[in-house]
Amino acid sequence: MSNRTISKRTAYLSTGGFGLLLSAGYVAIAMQLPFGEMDAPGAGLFPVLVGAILCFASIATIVEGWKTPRAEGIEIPAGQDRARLFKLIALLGLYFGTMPWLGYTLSSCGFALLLMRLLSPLSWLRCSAYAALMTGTIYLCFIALLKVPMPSFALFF
Amino acid sequence: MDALDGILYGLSVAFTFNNLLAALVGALAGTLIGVLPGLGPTAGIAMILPLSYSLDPTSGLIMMAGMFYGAMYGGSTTAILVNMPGESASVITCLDGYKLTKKGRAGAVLTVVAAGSFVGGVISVVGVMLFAPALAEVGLLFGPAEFFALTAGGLLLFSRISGGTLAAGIFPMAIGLMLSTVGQEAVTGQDRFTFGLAELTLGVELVALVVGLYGIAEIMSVVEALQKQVKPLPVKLRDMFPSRQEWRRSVAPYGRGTVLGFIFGLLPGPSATLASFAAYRLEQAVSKYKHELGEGAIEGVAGPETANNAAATSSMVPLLALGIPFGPVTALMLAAMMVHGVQPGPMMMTAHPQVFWGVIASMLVGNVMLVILNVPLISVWVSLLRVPNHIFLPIILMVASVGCYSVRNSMLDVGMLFVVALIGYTLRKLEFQLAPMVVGLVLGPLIEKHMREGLFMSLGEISVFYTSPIAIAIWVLVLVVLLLEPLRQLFARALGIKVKKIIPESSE
Repeated sequence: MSNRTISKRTAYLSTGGFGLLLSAGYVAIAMQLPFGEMDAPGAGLFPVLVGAILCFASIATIVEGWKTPRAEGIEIPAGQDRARLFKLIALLGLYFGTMPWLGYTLSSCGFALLLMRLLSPLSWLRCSAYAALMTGTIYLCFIALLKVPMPSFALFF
Repeated sequence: MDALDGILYGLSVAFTFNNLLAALVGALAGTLIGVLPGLGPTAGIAMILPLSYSLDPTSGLIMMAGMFYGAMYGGSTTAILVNMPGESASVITCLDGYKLTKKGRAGAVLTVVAAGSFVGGVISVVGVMLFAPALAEVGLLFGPAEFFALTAGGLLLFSRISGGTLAAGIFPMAIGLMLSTVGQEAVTGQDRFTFGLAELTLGVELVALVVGLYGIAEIMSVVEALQKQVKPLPVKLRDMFPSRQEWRRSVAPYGRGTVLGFIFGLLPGPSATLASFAAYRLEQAVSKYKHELGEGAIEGVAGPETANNAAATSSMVPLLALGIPFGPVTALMLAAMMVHGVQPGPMMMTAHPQVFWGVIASMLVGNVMLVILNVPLISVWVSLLRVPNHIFLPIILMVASVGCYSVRNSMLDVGMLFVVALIGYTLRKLEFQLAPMVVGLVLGPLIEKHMREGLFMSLGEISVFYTSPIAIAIWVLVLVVLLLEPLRQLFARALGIKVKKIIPESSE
């Protein structure tokens, strides 16, 4: 397994900074909601409190990042491991992105085929056969038998 | 209805065909989930959540409870056979379990674990039977201020005790609370943070969040670190029986593990994981064979596995008695109850006795099923472990997308699954805890409800939240736990007194 490290301090400071921005935006939108009265609070009161908690949590993250020694790192994947991870993320994005147009069955078959090629040294033919078998089984169990309404491309698929 | 009447009524509910089937399916599916890589009990239960909506509430909850303690059984199988824990509560089992496998005692250890899980589960059910109604009686004294303290304080406690640093727990918790405010507000009907999207009116879907955080993010970690799969050695049936000495040495750890596990299950936090670690430390402290621990001692497996099953069972007590989930799995069960219109809380025992007692009784039935089935099924689990990752992972991902889409027939939920998976993977890499986000999402609406009720009943007086003695006691406890770590560091620096870390590094 090939790894690189990134500074934990930088990571926490960035996360805390992002959290502060998020809480500022969140509270800004929450302030536009009606607050009602104290004995009948409106929709805006609880989100403002949550925004304050998020702000506090972000500051806690920044403080923790500040206190972390500069030398302390977090392992992140590098080399082949990172490439494989990015390919998986791209495949997932493609799978979910094409599902509304190609339908569940076709997009799943393609996804399973490409994922097996990514994870194993099996040939295209074997991966295609396994992908068709897996997708067919899931189609039979969930869509045909249990009648789960998934996106479809044509009449049956 | 006293405890004995209750359990007899519960058994009459549990022994219907539908509920027996639900217990069996849940227990077997849970064991399978515990055995397989890439899916833990939380993601697995989230995936069957949509299925449970089509069942009646009792059957749905029985299935989910079955999956939870089934996963505790299954997780130990991979820990013992291939030195890889199926879920976090079985991490400690790897230490001695795998060493015993290398000594050729795999079958015997698996039988000891199955028996210990049964003992821990059944005795814990008796404890639940006695304790839950008593706690529900106490809960009837609670008003909105007390429930606000319990839910908000419990969430803060849970986030802190989940492991790691303060920020590692409360930052995800705050994100979870923020996500819980998305959608149509329950009382005024005001749309909040929907950005004009009609699909967001119903809020953030719990299944998408949990499956993304626990399922897809975990699969991303598995793919990232793809290694040669360790194949388990075959386990013969005739090697399944422990020796007399192994049985004798397991008895005391069973007892200790059960008591410890039951107590941990009542507390907020990752109870099953904490219970298994605490049980191992207890064995290290008191066992006659402590010198063998770490090198293949049966006590190192019997105690922790009994404790984690006992904790998984007793974690139902706060949920059933007070309607407060102290973990992500019980949070999912709470969500299922609310969808079915079962109002969780102290009144559930009288308003929905079939759910209350049915779930408790089914845990007895489920544990019996597991111990009878799991010993002969061990060879099935072993052969499943030989199936390569490149076959399992596509299947899990395809089934996850079915589970996520089918809740509301919404591609937005599928998109959210993907985004949450990326967030979950990143947060996990940065050593943040994921469970507080899930519990925050589920408890957020409850906290808001109790806050609103408290203000309404007190005519807008905020002092209602800090004048009740019960609420004060809860908040004081929360403050003490939150300040434990800074106090520990203060003692160490100022007085030179070193106190061991009470909150573990991480439970994920």
